[in-house]
Amino acid sequence: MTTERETMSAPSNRLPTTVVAVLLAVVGIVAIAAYAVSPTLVFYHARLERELGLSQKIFYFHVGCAWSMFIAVGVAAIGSLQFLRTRERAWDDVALSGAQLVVVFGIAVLTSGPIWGKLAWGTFWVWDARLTSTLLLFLTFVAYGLLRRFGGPGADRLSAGLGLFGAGVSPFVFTAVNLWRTQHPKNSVAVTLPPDMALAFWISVLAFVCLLVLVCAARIGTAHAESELDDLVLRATDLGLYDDGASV
Amino acid sequence: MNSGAVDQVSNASVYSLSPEEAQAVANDPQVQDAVRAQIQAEEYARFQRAQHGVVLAYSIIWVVLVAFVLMLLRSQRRLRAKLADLERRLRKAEEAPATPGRTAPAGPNA
Repeated sequence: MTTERETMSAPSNRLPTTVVAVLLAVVGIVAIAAYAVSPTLVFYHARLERELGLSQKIFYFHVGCAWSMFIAVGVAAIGSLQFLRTRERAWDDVALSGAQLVVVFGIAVLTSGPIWGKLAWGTFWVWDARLTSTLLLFLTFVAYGLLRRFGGPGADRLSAGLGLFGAGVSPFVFTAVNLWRTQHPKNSVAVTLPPDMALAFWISVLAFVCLLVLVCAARIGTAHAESELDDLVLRATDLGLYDDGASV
Repeated sequence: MNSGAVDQVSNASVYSLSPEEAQAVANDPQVQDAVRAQIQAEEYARFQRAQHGVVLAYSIIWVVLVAFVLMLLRSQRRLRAKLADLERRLRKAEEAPATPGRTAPAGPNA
């Protein structure tokens, strides 16, 4: 029998809990293995790039973080869209988790990138299409977080719209290097790497994507638990059992 | 012959040297040593800058990710504490003797 609570937690409960646990365990093992070997592959196995030298090693983790950021944008977009369609709070939890991870991985991307830029170009920042659009995407999700924190009632729907806007921007961010002439290297760099560098690159990307999946699952679980606890506290307050206020 | 030395010395127009004179200077072991030392110093400085950049970039990435995971764990711990507190209050309310005429157990806000 499906209870009201089970209906509210639809996204996380559509797959049996054991299947989710097994999948996450597999992802965890893959992440541990990938992180264990990636530094060796990056610093010892992959050759030094002829022109950029050691600074090119930043590329392996920088791109991994960037891919994770784009996947998190996708998670936020799916959550936002489903929340606007169904008004289920569980989808809002998914969107919120995705948005927070965009900010986290965005910080990693927007700090490691300029460090490489300083070494390769001699300057931390240039206002080219890729860098500027990435900053815009990042700030969109910072605004999402601020809206959730200070927006009051109705902020969930407004932020869902902002999440969809961010998702709409992301294809331009990804293809900016192909659409416009930019100082940032093109996306095709990844598929033209020699085998030793390609191995280090793909293992690093795999490690970061697995980390994203794990952290995202944990964050969604926490957001969902926060929502349920909020409900419980409200109910308990109504019954006179709780006097700490409704905020958890 | 060190290619760096040839490159430097064979820039004949700067020093007003003929190609033969430039070759002769480039073949001088002292010049070769000096040029080699200069190239090594420049490469070492470039390598050190890159090394600092790589260490800084990787550190920032890890600090950001680890900080987020720690915040997540802290938030989960706080949630568990709230939940335990709520359960304790519920249990206490259930154990308390029922007051006639009340539908909910007595509490601070009742």
